[in-house]
Amino acid sequence: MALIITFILNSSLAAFVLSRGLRKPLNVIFVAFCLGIAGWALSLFVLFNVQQSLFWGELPFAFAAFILTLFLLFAIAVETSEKDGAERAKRALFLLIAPLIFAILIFKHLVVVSLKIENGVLSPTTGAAYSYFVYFVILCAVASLAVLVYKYKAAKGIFKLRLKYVFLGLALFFIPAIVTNAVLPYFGIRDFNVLGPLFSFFMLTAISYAIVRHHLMDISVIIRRGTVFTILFTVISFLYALFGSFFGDFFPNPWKFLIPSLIVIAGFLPLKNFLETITDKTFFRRHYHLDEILGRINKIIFESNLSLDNLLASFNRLIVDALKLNRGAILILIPKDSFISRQMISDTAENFELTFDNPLIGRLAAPGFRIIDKEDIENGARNPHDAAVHSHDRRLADALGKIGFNLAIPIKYKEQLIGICLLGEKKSGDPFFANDIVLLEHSVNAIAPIIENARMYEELKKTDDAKSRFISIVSHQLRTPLSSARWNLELLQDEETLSPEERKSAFGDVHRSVVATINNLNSLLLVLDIEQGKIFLDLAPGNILQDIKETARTVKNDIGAGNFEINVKAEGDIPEIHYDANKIRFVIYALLHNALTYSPMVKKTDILVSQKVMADSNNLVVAISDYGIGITELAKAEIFKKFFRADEARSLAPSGFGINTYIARSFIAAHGGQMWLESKGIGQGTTFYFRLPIRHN
Amino acid sequence: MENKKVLIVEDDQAIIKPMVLLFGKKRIATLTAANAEEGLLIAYRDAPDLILLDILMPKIDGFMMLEKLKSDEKTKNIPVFIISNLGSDEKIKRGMELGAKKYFIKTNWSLSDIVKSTEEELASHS
Repeated sequence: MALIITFILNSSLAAFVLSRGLRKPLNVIFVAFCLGIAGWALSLFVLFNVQQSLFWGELPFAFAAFILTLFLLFAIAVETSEKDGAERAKRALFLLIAPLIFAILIFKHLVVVSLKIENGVLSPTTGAAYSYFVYFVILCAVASLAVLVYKYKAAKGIFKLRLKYVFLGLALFFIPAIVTNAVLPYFGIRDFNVLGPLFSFFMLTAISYAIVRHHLMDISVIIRRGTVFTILFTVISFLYALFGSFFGDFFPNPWKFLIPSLIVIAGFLPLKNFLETITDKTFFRRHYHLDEILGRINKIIFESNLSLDNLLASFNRLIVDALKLNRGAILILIPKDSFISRQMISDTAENFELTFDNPLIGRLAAPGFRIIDKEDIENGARNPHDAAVHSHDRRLADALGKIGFNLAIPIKYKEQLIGICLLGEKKSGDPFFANDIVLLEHSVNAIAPIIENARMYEELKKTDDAKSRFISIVSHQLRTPLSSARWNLELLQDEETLSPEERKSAFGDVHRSVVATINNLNSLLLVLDIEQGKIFLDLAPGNILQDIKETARTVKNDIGAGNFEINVKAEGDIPEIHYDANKIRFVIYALLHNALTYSPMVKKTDILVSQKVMADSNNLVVAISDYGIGITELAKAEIFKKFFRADEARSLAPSGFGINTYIARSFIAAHGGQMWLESKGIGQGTTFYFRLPIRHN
Repeated sequence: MENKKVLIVEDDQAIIKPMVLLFGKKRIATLTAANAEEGLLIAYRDAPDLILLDILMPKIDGFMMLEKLKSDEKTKNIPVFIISNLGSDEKIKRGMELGAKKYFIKTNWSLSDIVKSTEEELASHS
């Protein structure tokens, strides 16, 4: 009975591994190995239960020869690092000649001459070649073991783990097989003989698990669970045996079974916990427990007070300590820009950013929860035929490698990617186990909503701060000219305080203050519109040279700089183009106003209009050059920002708002153009440029 | 108010002009500085009797100058009035904590009232 079950189970396993793809030679060899064992079991079944002929007696031997050779091939094909090719396995295929030869010998009745089955036991009469057969089997077994042990020593990371599973599988077969077929019969117990073949299924399962899955369970977890299970099984069986036989005489049915059942129910959980604690202490002291980690995460959440930095730091520390990693980082998405790294625990505290074009982001943001494991990818694409399929994955592995991490985990809230958890290597060199992945998935999902809340809170605070700053600057800049106007008017109201010249001057000052306030308010309203994205362009054909000349006149009037020289020159033919005249006039006014205000010494500004191809289109380029106070390198980066005023400019004209360049640039950008500047430094003048793409519709 | 001089530290000419005019009519001498550096120099050199100090100035702001004034033997006893259009409570608190005698929000005061306050302060130190 056990034989037919063995046949069915092993064939199913072979089919399963087959369905996972025949890409790797290792898989092919393994499938053949499974089928070999299945065939061996089937032939034995037929021999014992259906037809007791020599043929069916010789078949198991033939299968055995192949099984052993295939296992040797398997040992040769198993990889110890990502550089191993399938070449070695292919080259070793010639070894299959040996079992072929033995098969011929077997079916020529040279190995087994005849057989008898007495009391369910097979007694063959051996032939001349039998001893060679035995030597061959032993040789294959020893060679396989030697190869496996040798490779185990050389292996690292996930390869070492896979080999551990192979050894576990061998133990799962040979230990029970030897116990049932050699030890127990020695004590006269033959009943368990037949179970021998069944254990092959466990061996094959362990090995298929190792070669098919990407992330394997930490084998010590399996061993621990297995140990606890075995002890519990033994204890409970012993209990029932005890009550069934020894105490059976003292208890009538059904008490014989009810009492042990009651004991089991009451004592099972405490016993299990006790055993787990003991095995933990002895073998697995350094391992984490999922429940404990989740409990710590809850604690972190309560204590974080929505401080994003605290939250991320604590969470990062927890994961890095639990998994014993060499580094970890969490990136948080700052909307519209990029991912900003918030915490690094490593020996070198570098800062880095991921931008949206990084391939990692694309994969992590895709629907579902997908972890990117660098080692896993690198171990997957070894077959050259797979190169095309895996090239995308290789890019991900490279991207991770470039920033120095091994694992990328998406932090998602309501299907949106809000952050990335990056983990480095384990200090032990072990790969990431399947239970690690489970821990990470649970932990990240637990903390994601809190991270999102903390992140939004921080953004709100920033917006709040920005608003406060905005209000304070605006109120100050509007109040100042009004204070001046108020005080001048106070002096003017008293007819005797000021002399006629002083009165004239004061009236002029009041007028300028009021005009300045009106302009500032207008600019401010423009800024508010721009912030809300409300720039409407009223496009119409226009002559830019004309607009420049008229605006120059207006500026000179407004400032009262009649003797200021503004030269307008055109390079080549300047066509009429479509633009919003009011807005472009504002731009020219703002730039000219600056040029005049900040040129205390050389009262001249040159304007050059030309045509140029830039950014794949034909443009009109306007250059406004002054010979004034110039702009420092530092200020250049800030000059287009709201409210920015360079120190030199402020000294010269303290009551400026600092938003006209910002508005001008926004207007040009709305046209699809660009604004930039050049200056050689303090006292060396400045040239502002802007380009407008030429449109004719 | 003979022989009294007041130092006005303010970068905006539009504010300084009317102040200087009115102080002049009241026969109080005025010294002006357009930034904190100049202001400190004049304070050490000319020992004014009172300083009217603006906050928002390029490079070194009024609070920093106030700290410097109060930490130097020569200048720490000169009364300081802050004249600023920054009116938040925290700014006022800060100014008073740093040792200013009074804090005026320019738009809210008539010039003559500021000048009157100054005269009273100068008188109390005679």
